[in-house]
Amino acid sequence: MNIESMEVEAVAVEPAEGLRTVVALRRLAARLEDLHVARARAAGMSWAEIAASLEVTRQTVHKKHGRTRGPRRWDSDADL
Amino acid sequence: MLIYDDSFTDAMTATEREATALGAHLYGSEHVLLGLLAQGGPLTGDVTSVATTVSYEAVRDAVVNADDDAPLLRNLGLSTVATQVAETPPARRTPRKRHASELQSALNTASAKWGQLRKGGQLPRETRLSSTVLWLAVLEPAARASRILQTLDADLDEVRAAVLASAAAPGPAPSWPTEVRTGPVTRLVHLLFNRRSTSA
Repeated sequence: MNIESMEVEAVAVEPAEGLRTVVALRRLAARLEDLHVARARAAGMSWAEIAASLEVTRQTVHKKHGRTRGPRRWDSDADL
Repeated sequence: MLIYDDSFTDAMTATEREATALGAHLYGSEHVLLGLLAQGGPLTGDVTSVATTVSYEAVRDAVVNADDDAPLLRNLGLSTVATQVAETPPARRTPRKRHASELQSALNTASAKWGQLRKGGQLPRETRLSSTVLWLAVLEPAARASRILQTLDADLDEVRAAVLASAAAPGPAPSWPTEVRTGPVTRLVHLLFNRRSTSA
């Protein structure tokens, strides 16, 4: 599906379905973010680099994604 | 003052376990539904005997694959991305102590309606809050869990009737109120509670 037909499809729906689509997209985006942040961490990117790529602050990204079972703050390989 | 019985606390403990296993950032109604099904018990047995397509495994698959979102994403040509994301195992993460706003809204509505029936003498005046309220909350239209159940072809009215029949036994099952009647105190409590425990 090209971007034009996607735009037509996204706009030409009933408001209730449009809103549900927004929620579905938000959930998909959140899962994609989780996936790529985990990959970035596994590839050795720092929280600061990930934050810059996501265009958010380092605190935001660390607060959201820093609670997974990975290296803890006091581990020697955890970047602060 | 109401306190929680074992069925409620067991369901919430199971909810936390399910949300953690799915790598959720917040608690949603889908995690409560999974917690209720994982916990089992007589009420869950009543539900699964009415809704035969509903099981822990079926609901977990529907949540992992986001079956409620799938038709909407398919319309946008994003089903391949959604499938690939679903196939990636989530990181284990204990959610922040926050509810998704859909869960809080469903809990508020269900507990207000349940309280209405309780005060009207149509449900027993229990002193402890049980998992019945959690079942009624996940069946509310505001809850994501209700849409997950619909993807499994569950009849929500039938399931709700089974939950109410179990709660009212040995008396007759009451009909579920369509309108929520909340007084100013309840509205204030909901407002304060929403601010403290939801993400939005």
